[in-house]
Amino acid sequence: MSVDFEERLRSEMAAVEVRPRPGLVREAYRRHHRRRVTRAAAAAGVAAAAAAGIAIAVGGTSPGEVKAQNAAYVVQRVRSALAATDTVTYTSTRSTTEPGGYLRDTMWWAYGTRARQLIEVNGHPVTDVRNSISHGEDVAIQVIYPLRRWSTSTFPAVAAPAGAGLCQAGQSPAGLPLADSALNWKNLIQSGLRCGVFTVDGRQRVDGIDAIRLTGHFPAVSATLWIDPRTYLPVEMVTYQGMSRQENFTEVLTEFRWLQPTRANLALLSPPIPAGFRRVSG
Amino acid sequence: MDSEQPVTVLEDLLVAKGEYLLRTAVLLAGSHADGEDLLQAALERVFRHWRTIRGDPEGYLRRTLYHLAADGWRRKGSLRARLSLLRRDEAQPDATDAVDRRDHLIRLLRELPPRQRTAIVLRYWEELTEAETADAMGCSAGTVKAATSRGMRRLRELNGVAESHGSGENDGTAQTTGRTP
Repeated sequence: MSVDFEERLRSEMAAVEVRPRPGLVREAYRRHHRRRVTRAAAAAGVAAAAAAGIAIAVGGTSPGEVKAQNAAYVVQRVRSALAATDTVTYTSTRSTTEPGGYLRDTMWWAYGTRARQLIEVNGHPVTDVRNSISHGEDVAIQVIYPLRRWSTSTFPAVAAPAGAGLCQAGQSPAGLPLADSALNWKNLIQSGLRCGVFTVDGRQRVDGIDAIRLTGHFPAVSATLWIDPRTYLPVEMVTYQGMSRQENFTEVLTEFRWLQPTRANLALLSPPIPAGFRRVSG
Repeated sequence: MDSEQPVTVLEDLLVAKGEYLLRTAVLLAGSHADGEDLLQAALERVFRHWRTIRGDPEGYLRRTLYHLAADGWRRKGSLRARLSLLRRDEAQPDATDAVDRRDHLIRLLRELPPRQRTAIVLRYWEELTEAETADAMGCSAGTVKAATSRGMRRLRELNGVAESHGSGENDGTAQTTGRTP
């Protein structure tokens, strides 16, 4: 019986149809080469090279559709779109630190003055925290997975430091106060758009969207933003931090989703309490 | 050209063994598209570390595939799937489910957590021993044993649920969404 099941599994595995796509190796090489160039450029501090801030479309993955666009125009459209959007912001950040392959995933949901942050390390949930700010107070629910505990607490809301954002060297949401960090994703990008030096590097398909590729250089971080040309909202962002001539660096891949504030999506702002977790006093 | 050397070596490797490597990647990742992405990510990593690779690049490429898969490389994809499910408000039964039973277990395999899936693929498809699987996944043989056993048990359970629901004519909510840390 058991052997039958294993045999069936093996035979299904052998029968999976695959069609290796030609050019897979060259594509991988091109991606590797692009990343290396971006990192090298950032490490060498060549932000000034893009000082004109003018977009030059230089053949993304769909050169036929690439139009020369002014980076200032794209940046302005993104800033307006971010200011106008009333959505539940879902952000998923994956940091990969090399060497060592340390993986940290952070998922953020934010709407109005409520935010939730779920952190996983190497695929295992560690903390799940919701903050809700009102009348100067931050009411938090914390679920601590390794301890199988959860608690609630109330403390004075802490504002993000003035000028926080990508304009400050090494600044990222992880460096901001917890509630603010999630709530301020929009602000963080906005601030980056104010101080960064950008070029539009054509178009690239991301998640089925023929996205505008916007490369930015900030004081300590090099970032690439992919923008949905229909909404001008960010789809994805990659930053490289701690770059050096060695392989020791952190690559942060951030995905954005701008969700309608439906009941189901608002429910994502509350962390589920797993069965068997004990409540403790905050 | 020096930079052309790894491209040529890996292109030759894919000509010779591309189908087998891609099949492994597809099994590890759960779908053809994700498998291609996984293989490409592994190739990218091989390029990154080319100068430090000693010996057989195929071995390095395979190990990279296993590591990426075990680390839940494609969890981002499952998050996307979870989000789109939530937005749709209801699960959408796939019309092809009832018809295509050939790869029934393969589709159930993608319901497993990455480490269980990787352990099963390495043990049953790559036919590695427990010790070899442990080495490839960077964990102990005991962990491999537990992951394989839990994964197979879960696979049988899922198979039992799917078969007891007949040929897919349920309400489409049998899909597991729970987290198994």
